[in-house]
Amino acid sequence: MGNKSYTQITEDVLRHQESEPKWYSAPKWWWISFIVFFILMAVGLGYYVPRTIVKGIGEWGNNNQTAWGWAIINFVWWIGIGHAGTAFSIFLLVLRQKWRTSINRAAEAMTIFAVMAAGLFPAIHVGRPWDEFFIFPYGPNTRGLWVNWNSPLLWDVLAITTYLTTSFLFWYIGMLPDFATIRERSTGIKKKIFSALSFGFVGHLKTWRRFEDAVIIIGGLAAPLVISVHSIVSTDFSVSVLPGWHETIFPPFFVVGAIFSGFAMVLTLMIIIRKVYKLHEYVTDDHLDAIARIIIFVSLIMGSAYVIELFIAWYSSNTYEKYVFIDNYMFGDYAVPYWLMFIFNALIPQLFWFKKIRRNLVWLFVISIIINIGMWLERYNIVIPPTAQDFLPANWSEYSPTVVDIWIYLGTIGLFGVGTLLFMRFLPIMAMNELKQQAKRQTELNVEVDVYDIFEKKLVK
Amino acid sequence: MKKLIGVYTDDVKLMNGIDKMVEEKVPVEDVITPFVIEELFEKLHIHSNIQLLAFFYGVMALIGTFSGLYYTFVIDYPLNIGGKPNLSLVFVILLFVLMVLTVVVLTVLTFFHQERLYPMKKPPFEYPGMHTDKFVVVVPVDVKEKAESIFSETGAIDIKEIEVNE
Repeated sequence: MGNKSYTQITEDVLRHQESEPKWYSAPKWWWISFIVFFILMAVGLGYYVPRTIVKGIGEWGNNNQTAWGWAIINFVWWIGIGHAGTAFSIFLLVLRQKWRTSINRAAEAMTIFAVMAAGLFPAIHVGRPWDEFFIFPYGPNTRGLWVNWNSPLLWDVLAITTYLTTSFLFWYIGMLPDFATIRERSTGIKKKIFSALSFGFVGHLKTWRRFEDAVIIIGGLAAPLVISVHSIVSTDFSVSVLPGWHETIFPPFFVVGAIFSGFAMVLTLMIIIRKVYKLHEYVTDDHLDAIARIIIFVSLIMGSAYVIELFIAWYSSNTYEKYVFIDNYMFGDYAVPYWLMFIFNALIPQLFWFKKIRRNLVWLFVISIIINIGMWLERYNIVIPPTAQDFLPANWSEYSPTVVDIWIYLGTIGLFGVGTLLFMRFLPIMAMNELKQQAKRQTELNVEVDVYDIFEKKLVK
Repeated sequence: MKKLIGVYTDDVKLMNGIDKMVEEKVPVEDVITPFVIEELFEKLHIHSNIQLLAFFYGVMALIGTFSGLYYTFVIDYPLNIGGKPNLSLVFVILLFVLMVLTVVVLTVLTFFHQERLYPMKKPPFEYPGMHTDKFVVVVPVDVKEKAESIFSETGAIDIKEIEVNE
């Protein structure tokens, strides 16, 4: 951040809002992207989701063999991306990593929209969404039954509800001081809106003390939640008896995969934010470099997990297990998505070992997109091949998504895009209060270094 | 209620001012800052009971969730699934998730309640820049003379009496 003053930090972060005083005045790129994402959202979620609800999931490409198709691939993919916000923001908060301050707010916003997109799929996948209240333990239902606590699908509902609530509250509480800053600097309707949003926040001493305590508690609880939520998602698969799903490696494998795809999406988003809002002094090359280094590490874990899966399949000597991993994935009908996944997730990120690539925005951006495609392919490989070709070859069937499947997926991309763009346009994209705190620390460090230099020079003389 | 405020633009000067106030036993009622300054908590002995309350919520949530699960799954409606025990490891996952949900929601509500924060609430007073780059020290008016001299000595840019809505 250099030697930015507190006023400069505020002005830099709010520049894009304050330079466009009217709510509808935004740069051309913003409107074009907004319209594109809005159309995707309107068609996908406004037309194809109601159509699925009215006509049923027979509209999808699911069949007897592959009862879980695109919906579950996309659910797991979005949930993975959604883990980045918390992983990024909270793990680094708990580890007292100060460099998180420029990035955490956008990562948290991303979490909210990604989890919303993810939650849609199980909600409509059940076929009769109007009976969903049934899954909550609201009391013995009309037949005198309680919910089945043994079911991982129920854990999913509870985990996602908890995760969404926790992430939202963490994000919102963190924004209160920044809403107060916007309230102070605005007039008219904007002031009224931010007065409502800021809940009358004033940075009293006692308020900050309680704020710090509340944030660290929510953060401390949400960090293990990241691990538990994705472990729960993985048990949806691993509690089954299907070869390719029935694996004890799944919980850690899914958690690491989630962090991997999430970090890649953070990278994509931060490169865009840095470029369009000219915030290179806040999202520095060092920040992007640090994310790329974490991605190398996580990518190596992913690669090891892929190899371990293959090894265990061979070592188990189980015919069905060997069929899925060796005959089907490595050399069979699904070899193309499998090897693309392997290359995209385990090999291409290794390019980040080279400093020149870590410092090149184009490379960083391209590789982050490749990782996200790779992670989608990973979920495709987990969901489709083991179900399409299981124990009885007579039952085998090919799975292909329908237009409805594809449009609902595009609709969630639209939802994510619209949400992110609205966040970028109307809310503080960086945590100003944390940036100022960091700037203060930086000044203190500089003073300490200066004093040390003077002292040392005197000693030398 | 009337209060005397001294406004600083530099946090180093603010800390000098606070040190001087503590030294001369001038009661500092509040310091309003645009970001967290942890040193002030130590200097002015500011504590919060949120961590303790969160622990209490956690314990209550664990007891409540366990009781609920035990009643619904073991006493009222035991399900025999492949001979698996009803009181099983499943409880651990659910206890954790529901405990987190309860603690997070109650901690946030406690924060809002203790700070009396609610939508549309008007801040007790506003000084231009107090959320951007100004540090406002609030003292009672009955120590006006002593406080004013410390404020001006330590570089406050503005000293005045204001009306605070409690």
